Amino acid sequence: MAFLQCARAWLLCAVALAAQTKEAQQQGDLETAARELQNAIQLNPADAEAHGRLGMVYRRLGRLTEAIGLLERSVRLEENARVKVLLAFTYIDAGRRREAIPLLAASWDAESKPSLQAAVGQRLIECYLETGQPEQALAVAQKLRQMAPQDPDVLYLASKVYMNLWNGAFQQMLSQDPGSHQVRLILAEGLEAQDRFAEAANEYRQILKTQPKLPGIHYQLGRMILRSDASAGADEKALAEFRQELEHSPLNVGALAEIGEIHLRRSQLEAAAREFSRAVELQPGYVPARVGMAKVRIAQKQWSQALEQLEPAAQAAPAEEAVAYNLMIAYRALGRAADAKRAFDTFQRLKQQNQQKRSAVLKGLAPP
Amino acid sequence: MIRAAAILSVLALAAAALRPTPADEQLRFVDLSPAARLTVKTVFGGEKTKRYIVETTGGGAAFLDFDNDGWLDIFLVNGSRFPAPAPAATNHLYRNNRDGTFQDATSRAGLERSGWGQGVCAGDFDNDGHTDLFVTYWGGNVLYRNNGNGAFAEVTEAAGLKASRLRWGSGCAFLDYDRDGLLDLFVSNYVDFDLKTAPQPGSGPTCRYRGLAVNCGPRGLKGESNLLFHNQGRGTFRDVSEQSGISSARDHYGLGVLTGDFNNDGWPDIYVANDKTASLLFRNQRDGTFEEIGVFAGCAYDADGKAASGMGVAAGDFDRDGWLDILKTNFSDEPTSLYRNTGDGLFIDAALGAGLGRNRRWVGWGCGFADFDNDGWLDALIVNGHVFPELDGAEPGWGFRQPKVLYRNIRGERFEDVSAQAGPAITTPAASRGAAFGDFDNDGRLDVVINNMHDAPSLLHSRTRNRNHWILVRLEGVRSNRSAIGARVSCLTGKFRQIDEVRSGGSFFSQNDFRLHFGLGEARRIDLLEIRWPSGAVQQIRACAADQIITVREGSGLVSGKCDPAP
Repeated sequence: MAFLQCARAWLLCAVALAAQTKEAQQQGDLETAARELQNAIQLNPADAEAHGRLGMVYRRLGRLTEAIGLLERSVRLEENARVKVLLAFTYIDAGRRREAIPLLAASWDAESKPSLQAAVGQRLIECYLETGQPEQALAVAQKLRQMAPQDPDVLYLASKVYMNLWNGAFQQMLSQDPGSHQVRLILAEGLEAQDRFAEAANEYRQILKTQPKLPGIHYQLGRMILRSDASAGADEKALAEFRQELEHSPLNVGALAEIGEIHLRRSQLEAAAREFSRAVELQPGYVPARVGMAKVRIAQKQWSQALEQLEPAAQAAPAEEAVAYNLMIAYRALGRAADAKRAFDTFQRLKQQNQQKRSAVLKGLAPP
Repeated sequence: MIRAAAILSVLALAAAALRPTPADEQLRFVDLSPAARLTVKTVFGGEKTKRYIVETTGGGAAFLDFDNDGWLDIFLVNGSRFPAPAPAATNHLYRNNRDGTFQDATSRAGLERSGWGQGVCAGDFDNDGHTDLFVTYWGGNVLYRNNGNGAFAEVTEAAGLKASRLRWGSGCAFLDYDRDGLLDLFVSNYVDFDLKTAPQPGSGPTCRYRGLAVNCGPRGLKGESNLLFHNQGRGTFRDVSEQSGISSARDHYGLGVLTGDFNNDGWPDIYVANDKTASLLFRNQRDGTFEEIGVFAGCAYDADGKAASGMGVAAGDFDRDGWLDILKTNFSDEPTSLYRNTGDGLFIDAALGAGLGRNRRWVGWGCGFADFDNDGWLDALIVNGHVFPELDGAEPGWGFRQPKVLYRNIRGERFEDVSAQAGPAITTPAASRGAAFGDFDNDGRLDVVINNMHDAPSLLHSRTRNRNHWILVRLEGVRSNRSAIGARVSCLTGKFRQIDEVRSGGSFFSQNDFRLHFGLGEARRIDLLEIRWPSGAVQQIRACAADQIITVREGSGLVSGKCDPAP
């Protein structure tokens, strides 16, 4: 009916048709909208907007091949960035991600509206990952994280990108030399992340069989022994590993600090101080050694000497709870009430922040 | 000349310190439990696996003289099982036969009760001269009034202590926080736990341990707040948790409770060891309210400012500086906490410097400061046991049953681990929980009763042999509460002063002997015993002979024992 009326004055009717189409679309009557738009295109085959709208309607109706045809024609008739994005999204729906990428990439670079750019960026990451281009996805993910650092969708995609890259690199490493020490290192680190310390220790031992002087391995083995070995001699075994580490890598401040901690647990305060002091000498910004040294001085009631370690540590690591806590203890003992209160407030703030983060993680991972 | 003498004396002291302890003076214990007829096993959930966290905690122990015969009796808390309860598992009261054996008096005393029992504390809440009992449960705490005829009456509801909802009562202690002569009651709560909503083992990140699927929590479960009940007289209590400020500390996992006057102001403070969260120190404001100051006071966290998994707690002046220090047991991988009181109720964690950092392999529960060798310096005993039986066989060395750790105090400067020399009673692994300290055979040497999960209890009898002397001081309040809980005693021998307080609760969910024990070293006489009663009255007893048990009544003086009759 509308077509017959419009045949007489197509220009006027095109406007009316567009209004009717919009109304139909808004009401969800997609079939009616499609008919009206087909009529409009018949009246004016060069109407880019009608092609675009009909493409959109077909997409919503699941008629993807026809939608793509219409959207492509719309773009050919008239350059329109939004229609290009719609075309890209429809390509994705149809599984034609490679064709979507150039359109999305162009929109990603040119789009000025942040919400639309974020939506485009997220689809672009998916396309890159699906087409085996994780490096390109990484660049988009990093920019998206800058734009929306708290957005859970962005963080999810970023995690997928990193995991994809990790998997890719690991697979390649595995295929080149499955028995390499690098593969074992990755395995050991994964086991440690799952609290499977004894198994992680075994991986480090395997590495040492072929690479006894590889830097860092004795150190890691010592750490795993301390976490897994319940025998009375565990400290001794760990100590031996840390010492071996230092024979090959005398600058390993982590090993020095671990030895210091073992001495501290044994109440060998001066021996602990020597190790921590050497670590601080090598790396003045190495906070665990400064905290260890401060704990020795606090145990000796040498409050001012403890502060000599803690104040620079607080500058190097203002978010370190152990530093703020021991600062509070040392200031308190020296009668510096205002400083102690300030350190106490800092410590409480850090504690609260970290607790909120942990709670959020636990809540997220908890069973339903 | 004087300088030379001083050097010689320092050298002599150094030589003495370096000299190994003669074998016959070493701390030694034997486990008398089978011979003493303490043979009933404690039931507490699954023995191979534990589905829920409620199967992992309890079992307090108490040394108390319920029949006033001057000999310590024993009370042991029992648990239950899932899915069906264990009706035969009941708490047990054992009467001391005064010959090294005990007789099960549970039934006659009316104390048969099954359920998920946790802790126990004692105190004469109605001041009738008979020690009453409070037992905490997951599922409703219970107050027992001692009738004085060998039987107890359950008076929870009549006393106003019946809970309005399901809670998990854990540690407890009677204390007279307002010093009105009536014992009030503090109860810690652990986790807001309901079987209907409890997650299944392995179902989340807080349900795995060393790669094993284990029961979930306490992390990931909702924490709790603690309770304070004011004794209104006539045998009734009123919940004052809100108005006193006690319940302001929320979302903690409360376990061991310890009371003591930590800032020497004459008013009892309250310390709560919390699992996985900061421990709490409630300072008594002397007006019926408390302020929680644990973090600033330095006794909430470890030396790195991290929350440990606090379990058991004990107070004692281990360095004899006149201020009560705190010992707290923690989970494995966490050193025991030794909070040294630096004066005015502030603390530093002195565990690392004092030699308590070495043992990190065990999960610690009951603990106590006790002068086992009567040398005048408080030693320490920690009983251990893991929470996950699933560990047995999974990884070498990480068993459910674990040895105890015994530390000898070296002149208040450090603790020496003497477990290996103390005998199989210490080194044999067990899944220990509650531990109560007291002298059950009145021989002047402190013993320990331990509640072991899935096993019979241990009765550690001290076999330390030396010529050191001792005294046991029993107090009776008159204006103060009859149990004299909160009374502080200073024991002066020569220039050495020791302090201790009568205390309800403590250790892990347990009750120690109310009588205060002081080791006197070579001193055969105490120059001065000074008692500061909760009422504020101060009483002095002079020139007491060593190696005896004395009783002092508030206001009247010495009731029994040999001391200078002059007031």
